Amino acid sequence: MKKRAVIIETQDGVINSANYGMIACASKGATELYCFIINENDEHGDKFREELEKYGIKNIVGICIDSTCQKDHEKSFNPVKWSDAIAQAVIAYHISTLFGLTTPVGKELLPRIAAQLDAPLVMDCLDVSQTYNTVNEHTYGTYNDSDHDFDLAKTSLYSGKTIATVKVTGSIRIFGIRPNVITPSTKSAILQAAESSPSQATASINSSPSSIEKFIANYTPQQNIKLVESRKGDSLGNHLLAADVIISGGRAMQNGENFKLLEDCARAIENLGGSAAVGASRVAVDLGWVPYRMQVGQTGEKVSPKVYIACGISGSVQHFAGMKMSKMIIAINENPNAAIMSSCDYHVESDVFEILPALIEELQTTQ
Amino acid sequence: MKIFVCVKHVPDSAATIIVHDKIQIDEKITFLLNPYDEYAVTEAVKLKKSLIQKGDSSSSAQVHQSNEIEVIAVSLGTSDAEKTVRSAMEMGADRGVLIKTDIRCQDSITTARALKAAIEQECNERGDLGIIFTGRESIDMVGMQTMFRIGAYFNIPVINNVFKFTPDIKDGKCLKACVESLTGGGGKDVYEISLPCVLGAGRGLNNPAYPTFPDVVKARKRQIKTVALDDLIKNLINNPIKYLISGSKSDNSTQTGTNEIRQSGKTEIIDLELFAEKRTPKKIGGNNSQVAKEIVRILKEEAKVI
Repeated sequence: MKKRAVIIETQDGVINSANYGMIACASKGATELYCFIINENDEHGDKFREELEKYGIKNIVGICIDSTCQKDHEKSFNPVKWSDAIAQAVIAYHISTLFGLTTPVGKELLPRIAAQLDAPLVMDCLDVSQTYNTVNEHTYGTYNDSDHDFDLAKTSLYSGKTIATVKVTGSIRIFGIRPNVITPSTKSAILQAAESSPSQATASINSSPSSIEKFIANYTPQQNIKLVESRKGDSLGNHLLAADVIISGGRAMQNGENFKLLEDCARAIENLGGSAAVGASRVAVDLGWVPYRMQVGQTGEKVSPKVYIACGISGSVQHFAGMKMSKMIIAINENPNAAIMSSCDYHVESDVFEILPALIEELQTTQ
Repeated sequence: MKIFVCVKHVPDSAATIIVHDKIQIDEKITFLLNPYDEYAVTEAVKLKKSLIQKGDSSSSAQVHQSNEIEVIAVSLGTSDAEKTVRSAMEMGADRGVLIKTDIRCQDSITTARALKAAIEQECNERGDLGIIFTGRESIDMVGMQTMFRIGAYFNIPVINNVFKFTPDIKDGKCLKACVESLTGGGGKDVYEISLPCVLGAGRGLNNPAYPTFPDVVKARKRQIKTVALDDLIKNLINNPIKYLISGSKSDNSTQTGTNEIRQSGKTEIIDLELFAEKRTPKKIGGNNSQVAKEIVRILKEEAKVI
């Protein structure tokens, strides 16, 4: 059976929810799936195991570098070191397909791993389907048969204007999954789906993991590249990628101060149990109103929230490249002819400064 | 010392894309130098200038003979990509190399191997490899990986999304540099890196300037060398690629490239379709408080996010 692995992204002992969509994608078909967790000693082990078990995960591998499996106390996350460690685990566990998230961390790790292994990689996948199954295995019997053994990845090309299907062949293949585009499925859903497929898959899901296995990677510090300082970003970057609702401001916001309205709106949504973050168009960033990390678009973050609320954003092609995968788009714009008004789900033809205060008030009074 | 810039000829992000035969895009649109590559070219030219400025005159005369400091733009593309190589030269690159192929979009593995081979060839003929600059990603394919592959093939370090580059120049030479890269959420990493290395230029690294008319005229006189991808690949086959993992460095797990260049696998676009915008805009009308109520209802009942 082919082995696949997902690199789980954790932050301060919490498994980022975007991981579960990736697990759902990697679990399709009969397969043995490993979860790689970086720099994990037993600190959060039980919690992680319990969480991942709900999604049908049996094999969890904690990847560490120190021979005593002590947590790496280097405060900063060194991608050079950890990509090397994961590449070693891929070889050691005979992984044929590796998944990660197209997040800032994934963008550092996955290409480095792919380069080290000289393996093909598709980043920012919207979906990956694996054609290789046990039927093929019996019929063709070889892993190197590229006519029958390949994965198909969907990704958006040309500034989000097209969706491409990419055929990926090779003994090791790597995929970066765009966060939040694939719906997670829990163990029970997988079990139902697995009923018709070979019993092996069901068996592997039914038994729960006994413990987190340790993988100790070799590491020779490299002399030609040294990470000397690392300043952690505020969690906003991840927040944009992880939020259910993104409320973004454009030129009509007039200045940075007015973004406070968007912040208030996001906070009100969070107070109602939602998760919300504030984004911006390129104009707002270029004019210095808000920092670059808030930019949504071709040259900023590519997001796919459940709801994207565009406030005073005209909707350039480049902005759409970053948010068109949103499940719902609500546009608030004074100009009825703005591009965004014709490619959204709901539009409000009005001044943002009229609507936002009313919206905040309404959110605050809603139970 | 040779400073290389890898550039890519890409469709303008504002162009309307039309798909032919399920995999090809209509080519009658504007193609240009990949925007991130502009930062790369600008930084390479800046580095050359400071190397020459800070070089002491007696030794630099010697340098000129054997190992002249040059900025060389390299691109893998179809024949019209020459335009992009020329753009890089207008921005200050001294020479250009176009690796010609008939296929508009080669995958990252092939691209990196071709660029590696072309760069190596230049270095064998002309001088030492200093730095390879690239853009942090191409805006058409957004593979985000070619720079890392080039680094792996040369076995030199790579940093992507660089927004600050401080070369340590002594006697007109640069052996190391301090490099800052942008990480998630406005965070940054600071690296000390030895040359040669590969740096992926990100936004904020510099402010690329439009070339002036004299720049354009000067660039016209400069040479663009053309090599065929097929010829380069023949050379590659004699250059096996090694696994670069720490753990396996000692064993001889080299991949022998005997008869096929792509034994490591490949990616291939087999279908391309226009992104279908399935949205049918509905108007939310009424006074401010009615609109607000309706938005809250939508968030609650339709999107179920609160």
